[in-house]
Amino acid sequence: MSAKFERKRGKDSPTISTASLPDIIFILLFFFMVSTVMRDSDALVTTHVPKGTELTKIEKKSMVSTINVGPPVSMHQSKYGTAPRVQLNDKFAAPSEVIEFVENERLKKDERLRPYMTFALKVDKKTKMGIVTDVKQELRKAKALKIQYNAALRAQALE
Amino acid sequence: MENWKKKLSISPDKAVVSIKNDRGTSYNIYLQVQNELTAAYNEIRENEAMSKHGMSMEDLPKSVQKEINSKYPMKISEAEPENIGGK
Repeated sequence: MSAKFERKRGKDSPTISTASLPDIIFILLFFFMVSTVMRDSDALVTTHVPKGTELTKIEKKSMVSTINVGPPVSMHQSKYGTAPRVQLNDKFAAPSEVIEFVENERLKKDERLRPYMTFALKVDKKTKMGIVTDVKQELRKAKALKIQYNAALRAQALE
Repeated sequence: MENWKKKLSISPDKAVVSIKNDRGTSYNIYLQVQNELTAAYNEIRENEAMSKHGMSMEDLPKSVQKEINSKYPMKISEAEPENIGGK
């Protein structure tokens, strides 16, 4: 009996059980594994898209491959100039390389899904139609006929 | 009644809109034109939905939406660009 009392007067406070700590760590780990999204390639070109009112929301982002066109980002202007260029994945490209890009994007997809693929043109509003037309014609040659123009929403009509 | 309702096409399913631009045309302007075209088609289709079905396009079932869309199909033809303005 006295032994019990002695133990109570000891300096240790009742120890907290750490048996559930690994569980918490694993829960956190699984949470991050599920919620992590793969980042798009770094933007090499600026793409301030035009604003429109008749927009449709993209439903299946996984079926969209984006082609960026715009003036190079300030960091790259010394080497690549200020004229608008095409960016495919993570590097600068010429419109003629679009066909190969389309082929590669198609290979990444399951055969049955290929007809549902869309190519998005995310073009800076200050670009001239010359380079955009070149890209569109290459897409046509590659039989990538489902294309979309990315735009931002504007609530009001112009003027 | 809005002016455009008086000038409706006899066969709207055959109507084609043709766009032509210069290589030097600003992409912003090109998209604004596309936006206005889309707005026009949406307005015609919405008008059809309200007058024939009493509901807005977005409230109608997919099959009816498809019906109206094929009655007024969006047929836009883009011509080869010129290079009149120079680069």
